[in-house]
Amino acid sequence: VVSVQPFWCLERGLIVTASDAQVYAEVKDDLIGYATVLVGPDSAPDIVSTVVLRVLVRRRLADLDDPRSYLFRGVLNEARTVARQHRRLAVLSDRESGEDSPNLLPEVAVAVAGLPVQQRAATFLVYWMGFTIEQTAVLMNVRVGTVKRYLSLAREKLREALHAHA
Amino acid sequence: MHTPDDQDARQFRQAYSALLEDSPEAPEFEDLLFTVEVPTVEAGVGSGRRGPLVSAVAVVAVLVIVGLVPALFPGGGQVTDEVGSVPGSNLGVFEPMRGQVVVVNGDELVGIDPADASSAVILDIPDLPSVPDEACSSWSSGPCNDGANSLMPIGWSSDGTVLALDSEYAGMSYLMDETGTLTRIPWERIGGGSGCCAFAGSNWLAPDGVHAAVAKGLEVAVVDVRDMSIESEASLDPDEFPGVEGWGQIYSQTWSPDGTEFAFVAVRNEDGVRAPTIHVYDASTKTLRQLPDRGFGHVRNLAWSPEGSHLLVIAGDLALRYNESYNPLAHSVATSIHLVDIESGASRVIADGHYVAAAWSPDGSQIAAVDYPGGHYLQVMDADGTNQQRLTDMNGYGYDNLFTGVSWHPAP
Repeated sequence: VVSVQPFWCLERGLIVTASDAQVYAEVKDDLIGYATVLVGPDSAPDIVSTVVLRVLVRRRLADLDDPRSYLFRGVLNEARTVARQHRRLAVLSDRESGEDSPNLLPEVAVAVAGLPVQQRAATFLVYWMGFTIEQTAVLMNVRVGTVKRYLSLAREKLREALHAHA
Repeated sequence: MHTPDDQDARQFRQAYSALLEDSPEAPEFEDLLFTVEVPTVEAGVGSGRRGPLVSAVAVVAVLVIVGLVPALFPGGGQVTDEVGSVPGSNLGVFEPMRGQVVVVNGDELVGIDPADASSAVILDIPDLPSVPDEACSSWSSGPCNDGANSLMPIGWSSDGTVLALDSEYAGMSYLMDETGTLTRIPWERIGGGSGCCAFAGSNWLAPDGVHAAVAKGLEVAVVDVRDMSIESEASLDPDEFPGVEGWGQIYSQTWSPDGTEFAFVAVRNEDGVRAPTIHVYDASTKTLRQLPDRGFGHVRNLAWSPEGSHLLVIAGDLALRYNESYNPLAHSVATSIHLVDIESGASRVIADGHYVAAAWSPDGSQIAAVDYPGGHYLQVMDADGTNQQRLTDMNGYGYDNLFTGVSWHPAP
């Protein structure tokens, strides 16, 4: 058996700089949190790794005009793919009872767990991270109206869940 | 910062606060790099492994996503009204793509009218079939099924009912048919491959929609993708191509419109520099011939003209090192579109830019090309390079997934 290195593997080599590491250090906590919310803690590190590597094989992080926005979009795209593969995300499975979070109503946890990835992204970016709707639209690479629609749909589902358990 | 403080917002914050308590540590930067160490793999040519052709039957919905297209095409306009298959048409789900220039955005096919780029039709790409372990020559710790985000439209069967797609990251190839079924091509069964990572498009699908041009090492072959049987093969002279190993030194196949021949690029190692030459394989006679060496530094894409007399060649002066671990083609590189006469080898430049992929219109009167001077732009031009028009700005998407893929649906 001849051992070879396929051409396309060699093509995957990288050139990175200290500034790339610095950029990554500045955004990694936000990225992992975002990925955790979108797909759960088990898949989050893989998503962050995949997204950052995909950028690095093409360009330097430090060369991006807005690395945070670029990587956030990448995380969302990758999360959509993972969500397609797993369909039913169980990101809140061990939180659904709310036992570890006394302020969290179980029905809220279930409702959030059932949100499509993009609605979860919109609500996380706006309600948790505090981005404006306009900023969120940039981060999600959608129109402002689309963000508003995601928020409206998510809130509607939350209210339905609360109403059903009232 | 804008933090709505109504009851709903508080509920969401409580949910996310609970979720983030479970948030793992982000990978360290050094750990990320470790995952792309170049693996050593077995050559595995002709392993003979057999398995079921993986297919995923997914219902393909033709969707109009009003919000996404303007985001993808900031200079564009409206999406057409709801579209779908036309009863009685043999194009099935591809009916809306008739005559359109087709690119991929994320998990959607986007059809753009070359005469009016203000509208676009969207067709969902089904979920990708799962990939068996033996098909994975993983270059990273991630899954080798890398989702639809990196798919490139490679080319169509001549009747417009089958679309070939390659995934840039995982190196998988797929066929999507008029029923919306997506089928992975199990290259691993024949030890060959196509797909990713050369940063060069390769239209391996024959006009009949069931045969593929395959390269493995120095060998080229015609494979029936229905059972992966090899129907015709030949090998380049190893004396002319010393030291060629593994996949990828033959790439960018393109079929003649009558399906009897395909052209491809083969790379010599000339003192550590990649020296590409263009060859034509006649599948019926199993003979190879080389077109006159034009001295291209690198060749990125080939496309055989519909009337059969010319090759469209995207090439540039930049010469790549043979085993360089850093590929400058991952970035914007100056290239030209050459028109090469198949018989004489005579060529002329019809357009200069930073082109990465191109496709002929069905009647051969126009060319669609992806120009990448830093951002991605979809152009159309006449077949002689005149009347260049920028159809749309394809920037703004999270991934650079459009850099090698453009196709033109063959049905008028």
